[in-house]
Parts: sequence; structure tokens; C-alpha cells
Amino acid sequence: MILMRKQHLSAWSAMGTGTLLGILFTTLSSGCRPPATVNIDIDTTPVNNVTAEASDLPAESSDLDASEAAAPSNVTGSAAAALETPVEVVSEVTVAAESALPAASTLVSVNEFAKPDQVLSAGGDWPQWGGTRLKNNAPNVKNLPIEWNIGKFDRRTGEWDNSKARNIRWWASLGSQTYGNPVIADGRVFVGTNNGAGHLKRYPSKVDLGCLLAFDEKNGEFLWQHSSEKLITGRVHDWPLQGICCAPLVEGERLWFVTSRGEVRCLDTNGFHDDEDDGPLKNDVVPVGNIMKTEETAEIHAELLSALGDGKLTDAAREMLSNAGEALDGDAKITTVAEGKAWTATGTFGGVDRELTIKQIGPRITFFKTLGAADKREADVIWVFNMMEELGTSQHNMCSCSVTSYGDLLFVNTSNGLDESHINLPAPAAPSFFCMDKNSGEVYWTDNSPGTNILHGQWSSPAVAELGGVPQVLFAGGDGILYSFKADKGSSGKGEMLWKFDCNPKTSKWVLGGEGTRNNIIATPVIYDGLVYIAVGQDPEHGEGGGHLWCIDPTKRGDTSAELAMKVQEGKRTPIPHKRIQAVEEKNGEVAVDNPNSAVVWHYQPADRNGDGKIDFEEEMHRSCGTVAIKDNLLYIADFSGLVHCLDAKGSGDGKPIVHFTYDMLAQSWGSPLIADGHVFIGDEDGDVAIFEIGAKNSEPIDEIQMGSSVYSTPVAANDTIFISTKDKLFAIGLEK
Amino acid sequence: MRYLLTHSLCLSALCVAGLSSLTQAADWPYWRGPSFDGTAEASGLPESWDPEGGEGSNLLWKREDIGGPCTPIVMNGRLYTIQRAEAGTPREGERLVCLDAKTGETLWQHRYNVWLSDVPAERVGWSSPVGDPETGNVYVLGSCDIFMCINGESGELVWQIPLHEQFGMLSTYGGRTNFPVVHEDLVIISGIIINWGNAAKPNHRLLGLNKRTGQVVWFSGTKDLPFDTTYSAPSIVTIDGQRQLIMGTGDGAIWGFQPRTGKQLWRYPLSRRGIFASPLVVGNRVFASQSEENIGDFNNVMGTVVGLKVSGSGDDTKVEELWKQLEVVAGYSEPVLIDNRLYLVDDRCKMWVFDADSGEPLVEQKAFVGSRQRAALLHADHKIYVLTENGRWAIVEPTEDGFEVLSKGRVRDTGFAGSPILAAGRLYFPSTTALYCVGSAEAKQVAVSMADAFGDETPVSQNTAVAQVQTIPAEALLHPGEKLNLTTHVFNALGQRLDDPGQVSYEVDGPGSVDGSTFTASTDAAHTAATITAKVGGATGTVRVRIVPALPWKFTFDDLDDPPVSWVGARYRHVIREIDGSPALTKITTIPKGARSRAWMGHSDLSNYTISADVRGARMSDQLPDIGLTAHGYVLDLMGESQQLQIRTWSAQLRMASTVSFPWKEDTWYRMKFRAEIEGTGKDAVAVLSGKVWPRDEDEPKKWTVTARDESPNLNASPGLYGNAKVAELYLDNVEVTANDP
Repeated sequence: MILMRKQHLSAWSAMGTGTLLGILFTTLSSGCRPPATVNIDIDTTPVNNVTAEASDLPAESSDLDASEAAAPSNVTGSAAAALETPVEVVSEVTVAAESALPAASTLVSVNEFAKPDQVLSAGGDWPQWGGTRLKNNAPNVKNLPIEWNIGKFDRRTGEWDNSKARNIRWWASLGSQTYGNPVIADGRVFVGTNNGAGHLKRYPSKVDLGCLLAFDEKNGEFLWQHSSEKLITGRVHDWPLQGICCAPLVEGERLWFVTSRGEVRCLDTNGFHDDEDDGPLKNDVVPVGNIMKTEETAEIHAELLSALGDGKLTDAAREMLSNAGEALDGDAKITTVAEGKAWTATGTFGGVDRELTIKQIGPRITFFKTLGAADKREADVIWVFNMMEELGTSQHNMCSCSVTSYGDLLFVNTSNGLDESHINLPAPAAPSFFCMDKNSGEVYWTDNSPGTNILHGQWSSPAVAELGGVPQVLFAGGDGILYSFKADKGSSGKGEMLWKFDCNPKTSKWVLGGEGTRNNIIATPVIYDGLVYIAVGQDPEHGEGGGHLWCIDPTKRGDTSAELAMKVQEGKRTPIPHKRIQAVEEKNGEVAVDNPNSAVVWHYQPADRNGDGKIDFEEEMHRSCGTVAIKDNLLYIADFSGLVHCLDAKGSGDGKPIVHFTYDMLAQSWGSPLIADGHVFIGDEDGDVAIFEIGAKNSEPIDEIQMGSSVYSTPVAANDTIFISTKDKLFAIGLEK
Repeated sequence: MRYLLTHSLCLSALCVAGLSSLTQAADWPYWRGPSFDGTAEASGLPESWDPEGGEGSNLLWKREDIGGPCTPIVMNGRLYTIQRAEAGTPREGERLVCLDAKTGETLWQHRYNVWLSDVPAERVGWSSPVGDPETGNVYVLGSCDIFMCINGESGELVWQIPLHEQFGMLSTYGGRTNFPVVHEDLVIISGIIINWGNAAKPNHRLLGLNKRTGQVVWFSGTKDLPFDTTYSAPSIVTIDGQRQLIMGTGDGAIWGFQPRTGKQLWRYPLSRRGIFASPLVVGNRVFASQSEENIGDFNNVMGTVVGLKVSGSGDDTKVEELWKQLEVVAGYSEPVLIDNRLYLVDDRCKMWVFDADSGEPLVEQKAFVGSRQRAALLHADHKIYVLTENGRWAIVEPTEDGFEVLSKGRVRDTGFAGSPILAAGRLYFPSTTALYCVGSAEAKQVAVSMADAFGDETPVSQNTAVAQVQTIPAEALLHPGEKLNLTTHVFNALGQRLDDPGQVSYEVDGPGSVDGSTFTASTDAAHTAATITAKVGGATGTVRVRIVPALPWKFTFDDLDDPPVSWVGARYRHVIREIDGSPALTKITTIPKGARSRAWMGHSDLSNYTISADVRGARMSDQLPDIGLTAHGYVLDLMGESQQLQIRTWSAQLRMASTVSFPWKEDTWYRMKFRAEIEGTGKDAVAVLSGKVWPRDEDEPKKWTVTARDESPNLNASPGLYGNAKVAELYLDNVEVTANDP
């Protein structure tokens, strides 16, 4: 039941936290308004009992500086010069009270590689999912075409007939399914996909892998590939053929991403093109190929085993090596390491003098090589953090988080979720969210607030912003709750929760298989002008359904949900802990009451806006995997039922949305809009990209351009160019220069 | 239960009478119709309908309490559909519901349990029943793989086999369930089967069963280690005078088999994943499509539709590709063939029309009603009925240029996962939340007999040489000393039955002997197997027999290299390894897709017994495994990561489950004991389940650690194992099964 295919698959919602459920959090140090007086029983314990004191912060700031200086892999300084776009690379961000409230005296000082506002306004690189940690896909890129033609691709030969092609700078082959969104940084384009294109000889295209590919931004030339073999546990953790489902974060010469094997990896963006094997992880050993022992190949296997014993390679082994790009020139010297089990082969393989390791394991004899500067098509791994091993996580079907950073802090959603039964949570104690050092991989804090309320998986990605004077990292949990934590190192391994917001109505119900009204959060929260935007949705496999889009005030603290779940007993209302399937069961005397501490700025849900007495399809906000994009107070989002919605970002002021228009693309949309150069670009499953002129009244697209295959991803723009990954190709689209 | 006869049309009694008399025998006993092609000869069918009913709506009746993914069938004026039963209650199960096809009134229902399955309750009814016009029986594969023959008139159970327990058929975690089909005396069913002996590896296998008794007549399969569980449904046709069963399978291929013998005829690889849509077979041509990665040179392209030509017979049967269109992403819906044009709706609900000879598209990827398609197309009265997954529907007319939409609409807050069918001139539209019956007074439909639709074979007299030997039963489970009567039939190269052979010789490999045509299992055989080979001239047939004694059982694994051969689903996923100085059954982490699995030890008629075992878990990647013993279709699960002990019957619907906190550690031997007992009889029967776990070296505690009651009990089932070693290994030793003390 799952198939989450999406550019930045994100998580689903479930319900609340194990220990903090139903508690209304009210106070924290930074300047939020005092809670309104409420006539109900409320526990006012602050989250985690942590009180942030301003005096902590300068110390933390110096810690950050120190760790940067100490970490050998920190390349912040050197990368500055390499950036094409002249953004201020190391920016000393001093956030004073953005909030008008006087209590917000918190000072945060953090070294950021690039300040979000500068990235957005520069119109240059677009180095992470959503471009910046604010996740608003509305860069100030100019000179974009609004007409293009991809030409014609022969379905059988793949040959490109470009006679009718227009404004296509280049295209590159991706795998057969592509859900990772392109990221553009430092003259390269990075995209997550599967191994369908078979860029490495040692992994022919029929071998299923999660692949992160790097291309030259100028001409689309393939540079290198990071390969993740499939987990043996199969689809429960690593769905076949879905590849890498996240977008990487790039800062200078370093790149971070989450693999389909449940790891966070840091890579050198240069790969081995800098002729160096950068570390700490060096001498990465990877398989070249193997000779399998099957009924048909038992003899070939036995011959090789015997030949290795005699210090030789067989013709079959040579052929295998040749096919894997490691053709042996002359003879190799075979040395036995362990009789009948392990050998080394020294010789010239693929034109490079190297030593291969050969091991007999189970039914196969496998050849390994050690990656080095000669392996230009391979990725140079800096460090690996295995979430499944280190944190004990068990992702549901896929790990898909597009990570983001704040200074030296890297934030990751683990995708921890249910198992095959869709009821049992195999790793209930494993974290959902964590914060680590981007240089060293050291974990600062973890959090498992969604706990046993995870509905399905967790496929959302975090956002970070300084809001009300406090740096906040926003994580959408698998319980359908959006959590805010202080974006710092935490204390004693715990993050400081600032607020949480249940994105589902309390009476909504989770139904296995997609028929319910309680939704997950696949989307990424977006920050625009001090407010937070998030839509709910479900695994595309679950089909269509009703949804919600929220605009949230992030300066409140505690439980800032629209409603609170209460039990009525003896005429008194008492808050009740969050429940996974249904937070409020009215038949049990439970009620949803308006939260006096609600942070809702506005809430978009189905309503009879045209007053015809019924709710039309076009009046519904449906489930969405999509993330909003906002420019000049105009908000765009596509829902899974194929409607494009345009709203006023600020709403009516009384909690109601202002809806400018909806437009039916007649195809499912899994991605999110791009707003750039006065236009809005949205892809759909039929492979069309709809282009709207930005404007509240421009309710019909000016064009819908066919991209040849499904556009599950989100169009992005950088350096005068639109980048669109279709299911199997990456296009760079721009006006002729 | 309630039924709704809503918004009845102004159908006069006269009209109704006229309708039924004209079309009385026009049944739809198979979900794709009596000719397996989604097509019926009919006239006067509605061009439009309104789900709200009322005048001019063409809605005859609707049932808002019948929903889900099931495509119904209609036979002898009765409609059959698979539904959830007592949804959301501790008694939840599954049921076959029989309605009066004319009025929608419920006539009867047969309910049954779902046990030891991961199928979500919401996905119950994925496959369809099939009707057998000859006997009037209806065959149903329940979502846990209980396979049943039910009297279509009375609803009484004729026979049933728990295919998961007896054959290792895998019920899925997404709900995918296969479709049975009836051919002559056989009912044929398939599924991913992880069996025993030489069939221990996963394989999409087929079983031909005697439709009257359930006896296994043949056991066949596809390629080992399939990609997926699937539900592509079979068609039975005759090509070049040879009867064939054609279907898509979990190994990504389209296969042809002889339906009387299970003999593999041809295979056409189509996808890097399993095949979900049912191929359409018309004449000697097969049209198949899929929406996942292609094979071979096109493996970086998703989706394809092919036209295949099948020719020849026997070992010379071959398949050739007439045409192939890539990037047609159509993996679910089934097409129809009209005037030599293939009408196909892809997964995004876009219409394609292909020339059936050349494959040239006349219409490409045209939007016309929705954005998501699962249901098959129905063609009748020069109209195509399309029901979409997001609740939209369309009735379209094939035209010279392609097609024209006659009418379309949207039913809010529902979806159509089941397919439209037509019987006695009435259309049935199954949605996730309601079943609609749509029709008009003028409707007429020509009856088609399924037996005729199979097509004409080459007369047997033209091929009288014996080419295949079939000894029945092909598979059996015996007690030591038990006798088994063998019946041997012979078939020619085309899979047609010949006169019974005069001389059959039998050879036995294993503990037992044959006297005449009776096999007798050795009296001292236990937890083992024998193979009987029947010879007629130069041709042979085999029978595989498992021999399992009555209780008590004890397994120490001391003298074994592998799990007992008679266990189903145990080999390949477990090895025997010395742990703590004693050989133990080890469930390893490295079996692709099999690291979390179930195994069964023997007879399904066992009841009132206790299973116990020494168990131990390793900690790997900082995680513990889950270790389970099963009895009566319940599992006692020692859960590692959640440190709980749970009794449950249905993993995805914890209807009667009972869970207690139970801290336990790695590398420590525990003793687990699980007792299942039926109290009361008939309607008052209750299953009482009791489990306890204690450190092996300590004395057994008096009290049970966890107990549960099931008021919708499984009355009997094979003892077995459940294990989740996806991350960490688990070990079992000294497994015992004993009858409960009276």
C-alpha cells in the first residue's frame, strides 16, 4: 500500500506525542503573548521543562565557531570563491526581535553558508530542496522562457529528434523513476533517481539502485554517481525502483543527502574530479561484480574458485571485469588471503594500476575495488551516518528527507514508520527527527514526539527560520502534527520543543488504505513573511480525498492547534492525550473545543464559497503532496486531485482564507509550484507543465507544455534556467544566450 | 442487515417481466464476463445514469452498505460479492454476499475468518468470486488465502482449504488477491507460494483442484523468486485447437498453460515487476500491458502495451510479439477490442486506441473523464463503460476517429476500484461505498455459455499418443500408515484427456509403498515426505506426499541439516545452526523478502493443542527480532523492539488481540508456551488463548502471561511459526506440540 512517489516525499500525519499529549504548552522565554485566559483544566507545563535563557546563546554561538574551525571537512571558506553567484557566503546573521513584542530579546548568532534572503534575491544557485531553509520555491531568477518544446524522443531507441525543440539547453538521462528534485549549485546539477540510465559500468541499468547523479550545469555532461544498493529487507524499507527520493543540500564543496538505505551521507561535490579522496571516509571499498553460483553457472563458479587457488583468473572472470569497466591488461597477480575464501588481484584494471579484493561469500565470488582519484564517475564520500544502525529506525518503504541546515546544524527526518502490517510500529523508541553536526556527523539531539501515533511513514522534510526572534526548526511528524523546536544543539540530547500544531481536525479519522479523513503530512512547511504554511496529504497510493491547508503563527508556544481534545466528565472538560486513529471520539463523550491558544492565521478547507448550497469539487482543498510557493502575497499550491489553488497568503484576518481561484489540470499533481520571473510553473502526472502568469485574476494557464513523461517533481529555476526532472530525464530550459 | 431499495425507477411490473424473460440466461459468472473479454452482445443499454436516482436516472437500485474493491459476478439471477463482515468490531471477518440481482435484496451470506494475514480489512474483496454454471457453485479466495467452494443457491460451504497453511500461499500486505477460474472439472487458483521440498522457494504457482472435492489435480508454477504478488486474472481460450489458460504473473511475464494439466506452454517476459492487469485474449492474439519498468533494452522506460500472437501446440506452442508500444503507462485497467481496435485506458485515465494488427495508435493519451484508473472497461451495445478510481464515470462510444463521450459524471466521496459488469441487461457499478444497478426497460443481452466461449479444440482422435501422465491427488498430507488411492489419467500433447491407461506402474521415493493403485505411508514415518512416480509407457507423473503423525510432536533439530521437509514455508527461510552447543532452527536475516514470514507444520484439522518452544533472539543493528508461535490461526508474538507479548489473529486488524508489556533480552533462551482451546460449541464456541514466556532455566510460572478470547473463533488450524528476522536473527529449539489435557 504504498508507493510514494514524489519529488520530496514527505511524511504523513498521525497523532500526538506519547508523553506530552493533550498538554497545552503556554510559556517559554521568548516573546510570545501570554495565553488567553481559559476556563478549562490545563496543564501549563512547558515543553521538556527547558527554559531558554538568553545567556546560553552566546556560548552556543562560540561553540559553533569552534566546531567549524576544528572540523577538517569544513570547506566553508574555500567554497566562497567558487560560487558563480556573488552571494555573501559566510553571513553573520544576527536576528534581533523580528517580532514586535518587546520580550523577544533573544539574540542568535550563527554562521550560515548563505543567507536565505540572499539566495532568494540573487536568482543564482538553488542549492537545496525549496532553495533555502525557508523552502519557498520563488527565486528571483530572470530571463526565463515561457515557451519551449522538448522535441521528440523515439520511444524505442531513445533518439532525440530536436528539429522542433526550442529553448532546450540540454537534457540528460535519469533513471526510470525520479522523485528527487534537482538542486543547482556551484556549476553542477544534482538529482536523485534510480539506476535506469546505467551510468556506471559496474552497475548495469538492470541493477536496481538508489542513485544520486551529478551533471555539469553548463552542458548536462554526466560527472559522477553515488550508488546505494537495495536493502535486502526489501520493499518494507526500500521500495523497488524508486531510487533516491530526496534532494540534497549543497554548501560549497559539501553535499548532504539521505539514501534509500536509511543513511545520511556527506559527499564531496567535486567527486574525484579534484583528484583527491577526501575524508574522513577514505578508501571506500565497492563491489565491481561477481560470479554467481546458480544451477546454470555452477561450473563457471567452480572453475574460478579453483583458478584462484592456482593464482589465476578465468576467462569468465576477465569478461565480467571487462563488462564492469575493469578490463585486465595482461595478467594479474593473485595472492591468497584466506584459503578458498579471500584473495587479492594486483594488476592494471580498466587502465588503472590497482589491487582488487576477491571474496567468496555465500553463492557468489565478488570482486571489490577501492575507490580513488582515478574513479572519476564515482562519488567521493566524506562520511556516513547509518540511521537504521545508529538510531534503530525502521523507515516505511523509503527514506526521503531532504535535509536542511542552520549554521553547522543539519536537520533530518528519519522516516521511521510502520511495518508491513500497517499497524505495528517496529521501532517505537526510534527518533522521528534529529539534529546533527553537518561537519562531523555527531548527533546533538533526537526527538520521537510522534512516537506510537505515527500513522504510516514520515516523509516530510524540515524547514528552519528565525521566527519571532528565535531560530526554529519545523518538522512535520508522522502523526500529522507540525512540531517546532529551537534550532540549536539542544541540551542533554533533547531538542527544545517550542510549539506543536495538529494539522488534522480532532474528529478526523485515520482509516488504513486511504479512505479516512485523518491525513499525513507529505509536504514541507514553508516560511513566508514570518508565517508558516503547510498542507496535509497522503501516500499517492491511497488515492484522493479531502485536505487542509494551514497558515500558522509561529510565535505562539505550546499546543497551538486549532482545537483541543477534551473529555467531558461531571460537567468538566479535561484535556485528553492525543490518539492515533481519532483524537476525539464523540460517542465516548469527547469533544473538540476551540483552542484559545490557537495559532491559526487561516485555514483552507472545503467550503461552499459560491453559495450554491453544495460543496463543488472545485471548492475543495484536497489531499496534497505539494508544498506552497508564495510571491507578493500570492500563494500557489497544487493538490493531488489536480486542482491548482491560488490564495491570498495573509487571509481575511478572521481566520478565513481568501481564495482567488482554482484550476483543474485534469491530472494528478504530486509536485509543487515554481514562481519565478512573473510566472507560475506546475507539473502533473500526465507530463504537462502548466504555466500561469502570476496574478490573482490569471486563473487560466497561458500554456501547458508536454514534457514527454510524468513530472512528479517540482520545477526549479537558477541562473536564468528552468530545471525540470521528468520521470526519466532532466531538462535545462532557457532562452538562447 | 439492512438493504436499500432506493429511488426505484418507474419500472412497471410488465417491463421487469419482459426484461427478465428476454435475458434470463445472460449471466456474468466471471468478472471479465463469460468470454473473458469484457464484452457482451446487448442492446438498449443506458447512455447515461444518475447515482442519485429519480426519474430518468436509469438507476434500478443501489445498496449503500455494499462497497469495496470487489467486482461482483452474476449467475442464475444472483449477484455475488466479497465484503467485509462486522467491520470494525472484535468479530470482524469476511463474507460472500448473495443478492437478488434484480432487486438488490440480500438472499444469504457466508462469513469466514481472516487469520494469519497482513491484508488490511479495508482491502478485503480485492478479487472476485467465480461461478460455475455446471454445478451452481461459487468459488472464493478469502484474503488470508482460505479457498472455498460454496453452494451458490443455499450459501452452504461445500469444501474449503486453507491454502496458506497447506501450501504456503502468501497473502499480501497490500491486499492483492488472485482470481479463481473454472474449467470443466477443475477450479484453478494461483498465488505466490512458498511451499516445501523442491517448491520451497517463492514462486507464482498454480493449483488445479477438483471443483467438487477440492482434491489437488495438478500443481504447476512459473519462475522462482518472483518480483511481486499480483492479481492478473486468467482467461481460458482455445488457440490453434489447443485449450490454454493465459495470465500475467508475479515474475513479470505473460504465461500460457494447459488448463487440464498445468503444463507450461509459453512465457513472454514483459516487466521488471509483477503483472497486475489481466491480458485480453481474442482469437490467437494476446494484448497485455503494464506500467512499471520494461525488460531488456527498454528497462529505463516505464509502461508498455504489446500485441502477441500465440501459435502451435504442445511443446511447439510459441509466442511472438506482433507489436510493442512503449511508454503506455497502463498497469491496471483491462482493455476491450472493438472492430479490430484496442481501447485501453491508462493508469492516469487517458484513452489510447490502437490498431490491433499494427499497434499504431489512433488515439494517444487523451484526457476524457478522470485522472486515475484501476477498473476494467466494459463494452456492450456499442458503448464503453468507464468507472474511474476517483469517482468519475463516463460512457463513451467508439467512432471512426476513436471515441466520443456520450455522458459523464462524478460520484462524490467515492471511488470505483471494482469494474462494471453486465448481466441480464443490467449494469452493475461497484464503488468503494455503494453498489449501483443501472438499466433500462429496453435492455436486452445475449446469453453466452462459458463452455462454448472456451472455443473448439482439435478433436482428440487426431492426437491419441500419451504425452502426459497425471496422478491424483498431486499433493497430499497423510498420517503414518494412512492409505491414499491413486488415480492416473493420461493426456495427449495438447493436454486433452485420453482413455485411462491399462497399465500404470508406480515407484515410491521415500517412506511408503504402493500396492496396486494404493499408496500406504510407512507407519514409522514422521515429519517427512515421499514422492510417487507413475509411469505409463515413457511418460511420468508425480505425486508429492507429506507424512505427519498425530500429536504429540517434538522437534530438537539435532539430526537435521534443514527444517523438517514436511513443514510448509520453513526451508529456504531457516537454517539449522549450532547455538549454545545445540543445533537450533535459525531464522536468518538475509533471505530476500522472506525474513518476516510464517511457516506451518502439518494438518489443518488440529484443534485444542499447545505449542511450546525454546526461543532466543540476537541483537543486530541494535534491534531485536519478533518471535512467534502459532496455534489455531492465532499467534503468540514475543515482540523485540516493542518489548511486548501479543496474541492476535490478524496482523492488520487487531480485532481480538491482547498485548502486555514484556521486557526481554537478547542472547537469552526463553521458553514460550501457547495454548489454544475451544470452549462451547456451535454459535457459542469461543477460542481461549493463553500464552506464557519465562527464562528457560527457571521453573515454569503457574500463571499465563497473556490471555485472549475470540468470540469469532478459528476452530482448527495447523500449528506453525511466525518470525520477523528482518534485522536480527532468531533461534528456536525443542519445539513441541501437544494435545491439551482434557
